[in-house]
Amino acid sequence: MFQGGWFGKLLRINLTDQTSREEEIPEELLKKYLGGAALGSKILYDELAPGIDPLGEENKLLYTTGPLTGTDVPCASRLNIATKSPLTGTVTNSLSGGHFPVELKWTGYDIIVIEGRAKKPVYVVIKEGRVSFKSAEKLWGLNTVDTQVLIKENLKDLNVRISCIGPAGENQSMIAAIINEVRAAGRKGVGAVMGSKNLKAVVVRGTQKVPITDEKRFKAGVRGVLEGLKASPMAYPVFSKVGSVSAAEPVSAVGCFPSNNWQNDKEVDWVEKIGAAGLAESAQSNNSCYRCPVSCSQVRMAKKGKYAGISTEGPEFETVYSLGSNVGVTDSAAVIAADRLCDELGLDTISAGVCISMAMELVQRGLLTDEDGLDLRFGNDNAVMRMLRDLAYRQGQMGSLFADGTKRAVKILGENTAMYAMQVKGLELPAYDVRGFKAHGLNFATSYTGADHNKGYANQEVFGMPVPYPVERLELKGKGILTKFNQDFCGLFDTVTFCEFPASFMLDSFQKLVAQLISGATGLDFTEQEMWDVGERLNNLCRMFNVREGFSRKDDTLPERLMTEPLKNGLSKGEKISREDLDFMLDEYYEARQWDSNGIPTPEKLTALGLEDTIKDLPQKA
Amino acid sequence: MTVEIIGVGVFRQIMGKSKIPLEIASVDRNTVTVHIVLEKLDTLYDGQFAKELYLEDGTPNLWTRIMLNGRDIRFLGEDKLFVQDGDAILISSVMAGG
Repeated sequence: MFQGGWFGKLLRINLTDQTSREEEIPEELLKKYLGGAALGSKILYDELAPGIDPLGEENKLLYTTGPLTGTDVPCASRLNIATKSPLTGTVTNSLSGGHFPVELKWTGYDIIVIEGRAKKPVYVVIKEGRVSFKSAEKLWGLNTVDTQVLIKENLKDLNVRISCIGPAGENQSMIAAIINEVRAAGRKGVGAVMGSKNLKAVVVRGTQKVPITDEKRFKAGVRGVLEGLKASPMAYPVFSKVGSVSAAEPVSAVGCFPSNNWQNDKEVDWVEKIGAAGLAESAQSNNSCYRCPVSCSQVRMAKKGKYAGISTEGPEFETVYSLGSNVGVTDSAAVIAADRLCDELGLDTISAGVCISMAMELVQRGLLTDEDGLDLRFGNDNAVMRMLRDLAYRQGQMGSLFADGTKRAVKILGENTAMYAMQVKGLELPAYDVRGFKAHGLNFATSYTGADHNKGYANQEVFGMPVPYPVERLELKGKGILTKFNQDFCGLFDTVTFCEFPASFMLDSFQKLVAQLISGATGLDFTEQEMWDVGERLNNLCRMFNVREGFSRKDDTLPERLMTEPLKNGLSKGEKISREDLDFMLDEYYEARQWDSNGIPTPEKLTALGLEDTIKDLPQKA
Repeated sequence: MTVEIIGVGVFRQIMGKSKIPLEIASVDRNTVTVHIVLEKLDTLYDGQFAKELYLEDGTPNLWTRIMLNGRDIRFLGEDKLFVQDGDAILISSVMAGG
């Protein structure tokens, strides 16, 4: 029996009748799914009926932690939000860091399951073993910063940690984020689910220490992480210095930093304008999540011009793309201001930026008339700022068209606009023009949450990481096997809730270290192979969730533009991923996964992973 | 002939900018290889390139990446390493982010 790592407790909160109850989590479930993304997905699989409305009362919103959250392990203060995504219709896991995750774990619960829908806006406080429901009617309409200030004032407690939504979530924009203090569980519309439940915030204050069973083994694992980070050429020498925006340089250098809604029609030195170099003068300080020695987060403040004085924790690499290059904005101060505005409104910066860039291109091509007079030209930061508000408040022509993402905009505007919707399964594309990164493209096509870079990051192609082996980014062959490797790797850090960046820096030793750490924490014995199995189980379970919703090979695709328009400039000029290229990689990927040619897991594979319960949900063969 | 050199990370810092044109004398079409260009760059920048490209024991640093016209040279055959006028060579040190 386990004696540490987990508390083994789940808190179930029903918003409809404002009740809560504590449940034991069966040890078998903990051992098999560990926590975070895998355990969250398992609960959703078992408790959500297929076909439910993600914004209906029947959907559930899960806050899940892992066996390392709240312990002394560096880089493990991560929170996973699991739900059925309104944006994609798939199961989803959206993660964020900061200090909220450990505080949640210290309440004594590994998981919080939020069910039902409150009649009026509420926020929930979990503190000193008690759950209380508070009226949020006076908070409704406030941005995420003011919300947190007022809650702390109302509770007369500055030490609580707060997870909340802004106006975007309240208005159930399907690109709304949940903001955990200053960190965003940004993607796939998790904020809309929270808003649909009339839940403004979850407030936690914890005092329980996470028990560790085998201190010696656990501490050896902690030392292993610290040594692994020290030995990594990526961690302190590069990543600590400028954070995630350092990726702009290698991505841009090979001509794969998307601009102007992926038209990439102009050659601009984006690094100098809005990348690490462009943002350098705005640098204020580094910030870190709980017990993270890497401290990648950069606090920046616009120094001059109309945005002078606006500060943000960021912008991260993805935002530099989505609210910078992809909308043609070359002013780093404008990107800082837009990043800050998204955090306040509770918007996903990636999806919001791609919605704006699509609108700009439609106006550019005469496929959409700008009735609101936003002046939607690429490079017009004023238009970006105005449209962000419109998205969050669903106001005006652009707000009503794009508040639910680009895929739904196409449904309203017509199929002739589909070419300009840069999304997969409804999720807007992150900052990699995958015409020049083939495995990364295959991951966008096959990830269980749509175009999510974090669910199968191809470090080998983007950064030249030689683990497990060097790869040629433009080659198709071998990318199916590599993508399975990357997705299963990512599946583990999402599950034990360890930050992706340091995990990737230790790509060659991470599974072994995690096995050691959770063995030490829980007192159970885990092997390196079992850690790989956890990642693979997650990807198969989530695939089965989506299969049950009707997803299959037809949905594992890429935007038409990437398959038909070759890149116009730079070192990847002429590259695309044609339909035939994608089919070639999909065949290899399905074979590596032991799925059938339609992308459906086989009963044998499901059995081997201990997912026999899902076999009944396989499509019936004619 | 002129070759465009694109420096990423440390190499960008060494060069002082992201791209430079490099003039190289060539006798005929297949006389200059990527390796000759790297040697020339190393001379031009006082040995700073080799320090990044090779480990202390002289073996190549697997974390650096060199591309000829966008193709990683580790996957190009020896006969594909000749440089022509107008070619682009990218040299990248280890990077991170995303």
